[in-house]
Amino acid sequence: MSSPAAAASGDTPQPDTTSNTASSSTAAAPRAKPGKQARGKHSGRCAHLAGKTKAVIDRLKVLVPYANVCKHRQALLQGRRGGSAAAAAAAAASVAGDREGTPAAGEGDRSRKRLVDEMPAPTCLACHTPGDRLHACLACDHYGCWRRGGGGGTHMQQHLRASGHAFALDFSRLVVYCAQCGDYVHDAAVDAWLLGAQMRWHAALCDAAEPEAKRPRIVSTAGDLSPAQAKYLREHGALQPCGGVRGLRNLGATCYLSVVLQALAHNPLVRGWMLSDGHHPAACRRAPCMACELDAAFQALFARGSGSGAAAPFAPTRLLRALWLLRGDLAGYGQQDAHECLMALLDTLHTGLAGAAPQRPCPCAVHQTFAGLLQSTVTCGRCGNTTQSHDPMLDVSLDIPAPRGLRALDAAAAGHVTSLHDCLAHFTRAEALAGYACGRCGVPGAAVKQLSIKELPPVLALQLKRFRHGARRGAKEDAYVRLPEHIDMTPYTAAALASRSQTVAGLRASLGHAVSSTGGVLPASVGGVAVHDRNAPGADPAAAAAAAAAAAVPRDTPLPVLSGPGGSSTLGKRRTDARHSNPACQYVLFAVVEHVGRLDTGHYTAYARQRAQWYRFDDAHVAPADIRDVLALAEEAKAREGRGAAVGRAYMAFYHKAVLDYHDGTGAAEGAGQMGVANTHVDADGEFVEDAGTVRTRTSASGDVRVERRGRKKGSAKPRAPRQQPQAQQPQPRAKPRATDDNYDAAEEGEIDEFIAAGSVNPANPANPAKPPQPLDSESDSDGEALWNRINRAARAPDLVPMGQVEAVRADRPLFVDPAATLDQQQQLLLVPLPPPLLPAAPAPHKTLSSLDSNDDDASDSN
Amino acid sequence: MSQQEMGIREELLKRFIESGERERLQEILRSKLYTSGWQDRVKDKCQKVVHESGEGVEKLTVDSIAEAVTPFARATVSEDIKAEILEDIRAFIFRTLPKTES
Repeated sequence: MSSPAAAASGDTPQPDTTSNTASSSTAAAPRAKPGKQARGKHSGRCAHLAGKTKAVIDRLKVLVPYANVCKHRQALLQGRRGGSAAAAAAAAASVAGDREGTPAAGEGDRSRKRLVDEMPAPTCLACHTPGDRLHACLACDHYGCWRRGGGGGTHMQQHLRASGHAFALDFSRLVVYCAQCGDYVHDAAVDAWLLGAQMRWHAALCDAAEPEAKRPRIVSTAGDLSPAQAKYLREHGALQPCGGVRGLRNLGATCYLSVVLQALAHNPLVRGWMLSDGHHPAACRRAPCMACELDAAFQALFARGSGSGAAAPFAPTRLLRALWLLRGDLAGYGQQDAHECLMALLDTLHTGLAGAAPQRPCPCAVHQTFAGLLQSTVTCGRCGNTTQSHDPMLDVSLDIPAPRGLRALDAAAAGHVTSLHDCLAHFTRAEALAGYACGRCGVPGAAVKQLSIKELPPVLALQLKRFRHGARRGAKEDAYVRLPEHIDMTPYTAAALASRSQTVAGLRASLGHAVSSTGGVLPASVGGVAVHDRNAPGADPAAAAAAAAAAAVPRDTPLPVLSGPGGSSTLGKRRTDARHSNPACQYVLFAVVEHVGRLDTGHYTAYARQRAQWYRFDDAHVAPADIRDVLALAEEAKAREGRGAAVGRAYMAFYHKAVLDYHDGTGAAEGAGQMGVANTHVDADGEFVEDAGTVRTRTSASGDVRVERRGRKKGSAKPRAPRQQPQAQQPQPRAKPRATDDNYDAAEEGEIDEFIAAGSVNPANPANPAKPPQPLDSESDSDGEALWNRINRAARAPDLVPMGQVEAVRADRPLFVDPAATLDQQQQLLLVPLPPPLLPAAPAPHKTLSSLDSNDDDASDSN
Repeated sequence: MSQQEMGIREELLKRFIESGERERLQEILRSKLYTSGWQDRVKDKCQKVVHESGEGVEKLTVDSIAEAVTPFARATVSEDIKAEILEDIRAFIFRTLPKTES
């Protein structure tokens, strides 16, 4: 899926354009994503598109589903009964305006599935190629490719010139090309609609990739500013620069804490939750409470003027003290491990948020963000009985595998770069267990154990285990590991593993190939290239057998290819063999923690990303950084060219999902729902109502919204009836502002009406889902509309708070740290001298808590 | 004779796409290029091209960037990825060829 991935990289306010290096081979279409940061939002705008957005969007409504069906045909067909994807295809094929009802009826599905199956792929009208960057003319039914024709210009350009039509749509990448500008152009309205459309297709594709997953349907895409809202903000708001980039003072070898805090501060879910009053220190009666301290830290980190590292560094003294009190094992000024610190912090945070009573699934912010489920599958070697056990996890600790499969060590050193994928593949490898007593056949024997991830958390925290065991204890594993900026976790999920092993193993075994436990064939080499093989049990005799069998296999049997952990087979159009990547498993990197030095002493630094800009946090020093430094691409080049052993410093990596699809209870408040706060939503009358149940809102591709309520309802209003959204109806304001933006003039309604009158299927301003400050809240339409009404009513009142004065500070907080205060003022505010029994026994060289900063001459005396 | 070849070629191409093989191989190729880090390198190169354009940034088009980056991108695809994809394509052709010959 190119477009959501492009949009979700969060690079610029507009989605990235993708350029296709047009290749002659139709199978390979290497693509590049130019960074368009040099172009501001305004210069990217095409004047020719400005007035015609409505017409363009109308045309897109037909073309985009068609394009999606053609692009993801196989993926969609894998889904159960074709589902909503086929319905969307049917909606596209039918005349616009011929809206269907709820498509869940079973009898229509077969015909729709056939439609998806048989919808023809368009070909260029000039040269009949179905590939080569096909474009669809937005004014007529012409399709043209990007091959150069006689007379200059590509086929599509020739058509546009000849016919005078202005725009064309790149069929696979879904960007609009303007003939007069000669380039791909973006318009806020068109892009917003495209994003919404892609979100709906995301749901369909996720469903197709993993039909049995209990995933809430993506209901609506909310959140980004509509042009009307943006205009209002520009006129009435005093924009503050983004906060959140602030150094942390080192309080005595506390770099481990600094990096952990920075990683949490730039974690979009945690940050969003904390900054939107997730935890109320005033209401919290626990002391010491890590959540309160973290809240205070966030307040300080995101205080006004803390953008781009300009503000004075913040000293997290109270947080450190709370950590020491709650976790005595981390107390003292010795150097601690950052991963341990992170786990301790999360643990104490969880206790602070959720209390001691365990609950599955735990609704606290920590678990909602980080918690996943590991699955361990054990297959008995004799009877094939598989048992699964599940373990909850907050992060994944990966070993760094030594490069394998290459004979000469020197050859291995030159040109081989261990990547995170290698580590993950090693983590999910099949390993042999000896002496396993099977539950079913009872015979102790060899078994195969394999780990996989059953449930992926919204934020994936990875730790690279850099401590060496064995002979050289105390030595750090220094190998360079290449971290990808985007990672697809589909091959490591339990679902992918299951589908791979069950069907492919049987098929391949029937061919006479030796089969590894994951279903992959074990040839010695494929296409003359040595195969990067994983630890399969009994590899050697199997490999020999495979070599013999491979020679005997007839020439036209397709060679199964081990393509990394994917292990796909080319055995035809079978339902389960092609591994389609699940768009719900795409992750984007946002923070890296690095460690330099030895195991017992060293220094931590962190890189974190805010929107598109990376920063390097070295305790109190913050500087903008480049992605090349974050990923240490220079080291990678060094390793690739064999110029010596590359040294890797990355220790922990944090990824967040490209499309955040966590289940939100109701979603009227930002980040509400299960994040430790009671579910609230806005009633039709504009009342906030507590809803102890869950709301599932289904939207079909034809735009119907059905709201199902489960669970207890406390005082909620009348049940909502399913609503049709035909185009002929009176346009109702659908623009959905986020709950924190309270200021919209009623006069803006008219503009919004006109904009929505195009009859877009879902609310007019879908989200840019991976923009770090805004977690995707899947509000339902009805709630949003009620909220909108409420806001309108509020907006007419004269006591509106102008945008410029809204700050995230609460008035009842005496301990708010004024960043302008000097350090000792801060200390006096924050520090409470500990009663003697709680102080660690302090020999003279250690400083007490009351004078933590040795650089500060005004510090009070140490004892 | 070449007409016949062209006809078969088009037919093969059509089957390639409509059977979903192209889609599947594209995904495999995409993931391989990701994991090998190729995508990040090409993106890096594109950003360099954009930065180096200096004054002429406004006149940059997707096509011009593509022109500048294509040779680099093509050259840096690692050989084993090429080999594996070629094998897949070859296998597909062998599979389909008897059926299309009329």
